[in-house]
Amino acid sequence: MTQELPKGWISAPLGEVAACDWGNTTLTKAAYVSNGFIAFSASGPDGFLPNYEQDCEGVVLSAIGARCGKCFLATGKWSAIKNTITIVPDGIPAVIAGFLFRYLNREDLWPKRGGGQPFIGLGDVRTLLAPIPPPKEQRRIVAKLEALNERSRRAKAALDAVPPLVEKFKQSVLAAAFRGDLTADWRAKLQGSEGRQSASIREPYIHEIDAPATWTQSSIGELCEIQGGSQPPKSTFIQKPRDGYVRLIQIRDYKSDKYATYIPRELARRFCTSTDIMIGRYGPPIFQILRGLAGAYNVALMKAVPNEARIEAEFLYYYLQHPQLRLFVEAGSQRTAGQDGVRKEELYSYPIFLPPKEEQTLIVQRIESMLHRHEEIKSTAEGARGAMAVLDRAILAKAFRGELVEQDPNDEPASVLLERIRAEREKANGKTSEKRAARRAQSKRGSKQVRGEAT
Amino acid sequence: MAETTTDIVAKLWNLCHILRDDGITYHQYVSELTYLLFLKMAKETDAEKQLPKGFRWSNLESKEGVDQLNFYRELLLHLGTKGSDRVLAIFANATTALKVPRNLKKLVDAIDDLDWYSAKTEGLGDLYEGLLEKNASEKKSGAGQYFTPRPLIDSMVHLVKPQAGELVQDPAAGTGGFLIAADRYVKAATDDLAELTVKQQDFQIRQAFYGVELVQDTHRLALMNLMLHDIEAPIELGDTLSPLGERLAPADVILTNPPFGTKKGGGLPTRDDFTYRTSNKQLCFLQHVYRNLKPGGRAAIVLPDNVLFEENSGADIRRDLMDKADLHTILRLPTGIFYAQGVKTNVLFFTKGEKNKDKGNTKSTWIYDMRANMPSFGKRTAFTREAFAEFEAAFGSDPYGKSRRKDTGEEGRFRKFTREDIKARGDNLDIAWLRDDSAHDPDDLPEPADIADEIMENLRVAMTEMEALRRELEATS
Repeated sequence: MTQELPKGWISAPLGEVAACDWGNTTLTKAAYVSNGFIAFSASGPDGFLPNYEQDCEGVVLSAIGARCGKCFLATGKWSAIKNTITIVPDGIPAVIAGFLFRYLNREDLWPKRGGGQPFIGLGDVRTLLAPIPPPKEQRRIVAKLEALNERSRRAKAALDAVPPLVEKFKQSVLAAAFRGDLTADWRAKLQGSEGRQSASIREPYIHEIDAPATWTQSSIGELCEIQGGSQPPKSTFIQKPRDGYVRLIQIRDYKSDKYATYIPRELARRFCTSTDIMIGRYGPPIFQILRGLAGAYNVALMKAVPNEARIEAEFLYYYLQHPQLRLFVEAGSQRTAGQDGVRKEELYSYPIFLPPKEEQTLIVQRIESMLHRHEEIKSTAEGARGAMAVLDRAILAKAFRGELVEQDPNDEPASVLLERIRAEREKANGKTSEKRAARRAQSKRGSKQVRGEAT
Repeated sequence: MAETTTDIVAKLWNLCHILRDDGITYHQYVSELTYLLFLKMAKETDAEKQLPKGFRWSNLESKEGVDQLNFYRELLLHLGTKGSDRVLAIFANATTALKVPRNLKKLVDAIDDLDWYSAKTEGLGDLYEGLLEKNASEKKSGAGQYFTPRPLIDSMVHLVKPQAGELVQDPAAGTGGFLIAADRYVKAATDDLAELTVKQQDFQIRQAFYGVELVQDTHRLALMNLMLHDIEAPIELGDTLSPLGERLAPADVILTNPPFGTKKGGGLPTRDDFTYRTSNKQLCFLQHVYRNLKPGGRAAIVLPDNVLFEENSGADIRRDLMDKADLHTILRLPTGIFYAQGVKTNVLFFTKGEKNKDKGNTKSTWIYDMRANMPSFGKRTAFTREAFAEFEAAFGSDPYGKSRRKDTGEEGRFRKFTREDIKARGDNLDIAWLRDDSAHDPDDLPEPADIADEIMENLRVAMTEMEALRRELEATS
């Protein structure tokens, strides 16, 4: 730590301010029982044991495995099992556990050893330098961090709620659009009051759809043609573009370019443009409505070609995304255990109430303006959410630079406290090895451990 | 030929729709009715002395065409500055939105035909309340914040059981919904006051129901609403969070739904008797309510979630409340029932401690979760009193919350938490345990506008927390 510490603070190795030791290596998750005292493994507080080894506050460090470097705050009566390191402020505590926990709980703080199975060495823990403010200031810092954390947590929770709500909003907009709600005012100007009509759909998903009386009842099959995809044998696939090859589009390509696949031009049969309306035939999730790629498309995709004399392409594009239709198609595919995917004949039979072309265009416009804005809101919320994570880290950094709370010149400086601890330890040093041996023997029998001191 | 009141009421509804096509909003319409009804009522009840000569019902009624409309405008202006207190309260800053003399004539003629005494009992009050409700649902008007949904009011009144002889207060009266419902409850229990002595009846009519409303427009609607329901008690125009609130008579029962939102531009209440100073309006109202109850008095107050979890002064106030009063029940309300979608609200039921007992009054609090896994209320799923049936059964018949109750455990909606439990949570009363599993049945989807509001509400919460975070950070560096 090269930066200057605030007045009253001191930098000290962890081993000097806390007892650092391995968790009980003889205990594994196999020893867990259904009720008792909380036990920490390298994954966290995930079980109970009939006895406890510690009766104080401390920090449990995940020492071996994928999550090594993660810390947990332990309070009350607890134990730490294999693959952990316990860091327990002892004697006259120079550090309070809550402060230590917040400082240590950053995975990038710890030097990790090992390759396949990363681990943190006990020596590294004991020699890790920690900034130690006066204990009173530590408490103030912890209180401040807790308050800030609460706010941050609530802000994050509120932001996290936004993307699912935007999804829900999208579905609601589509439902409203095809009920005729979005263009009710337009129709009212033309024709005054109006009636309704409806169609009942039976198996495999019983529901009703209703629409204004002025719309024409039709079916998907009457308004568009569904064309399946095609692909040559896998042996002809390559991963990089080459002359004479075209892109073979698969469902996952709509999410990412990582899996781009190409096939010889002469073996390609079915093509689509980036504006064509594509349907994902298999799932999960089944019946995704996709757009935006050009090339040959494989058998997992289908192209919906609208009869443009009667239905606007964009109107069809949105109609196919109607939440009721998705449920209908899903229910149908489940009957064949998903083997058939989207069943074309069933899809063809699904009713559509078709507004006049002019109204179709208007509906599309209104859907798009509502959705567009909300996509932006979703991005903003996601961006803010990301920024909150950065903010959280910045706040912690600020705290440990001593900039989060004020220093109180009346606080007894940490150095004084450390001196007292060092003196105490030297006194007790002679007795340490005996105590440690006794402790180990006791814990093997699984009974309460006497708190010893680290060497 | 005299029409029945029902016919007239139907006519007035019809007029409302006609005028709507002319651009008159529900708010404007209900205001016009307020002015005209007042003039007519003054005539019918021989109370025209409070109106200056020449500006009374017959003066308006006798005119024709453009003359009538012009005179009406002049009358509104005149009465807004001259007349008794009651007159001023109704007509202050009154304007008319009517532009076509014919429409004014229709209104005046319809009201002229009213038999005032039977009208009150035969639906005029309902008409008025119905208009207020329509007004509230028109989001643009923002009037929703002055209107609490009737099913909620009825349920709260049904549980709190106001009695004849009790002082019932609403310190955020809005359009008077709670006071009218409480009055209705007492009337139903006393054969329309017939079972009371004359003195007791007088008390009910003149004193029992009282309150405060801040916004002038809303205040006049509240006055008229109460008048139409035969309540003459005063609603003061003013701010409960000012010294006016300190002077309110202590109440036996307080029922209220303080406005949501923060005081514009921050700022603390101007009365200085509050122990805990905060710019959070709802927390201030809460303080007013538990301080202004008589010993042994009971209250039910609608408050947003943040009152349950705000730290610092919020926690202090909650602790104070649980000391001075027995907070026996909290009802977590479903979202989507107020004009502001996504706002999360609760009803707090509590009883003030006996005289000189101001510590440890709350031993335990029962919480009913009516929020998780509920249908989305709105245009497509009506919100009715039925929704409260289970809660009311669980609450029990004792208005002090002392009926025998059953804790339904972690899978149920009704659970008991001891004062120690709550203390262990840092005195945070925002307690929920049910997982919200509501899948999206497309038939059950709320309207797009409602979801958009909910999104906005989330963003607003995020903003509020982030602003507070920022302030906390700046406080130190």
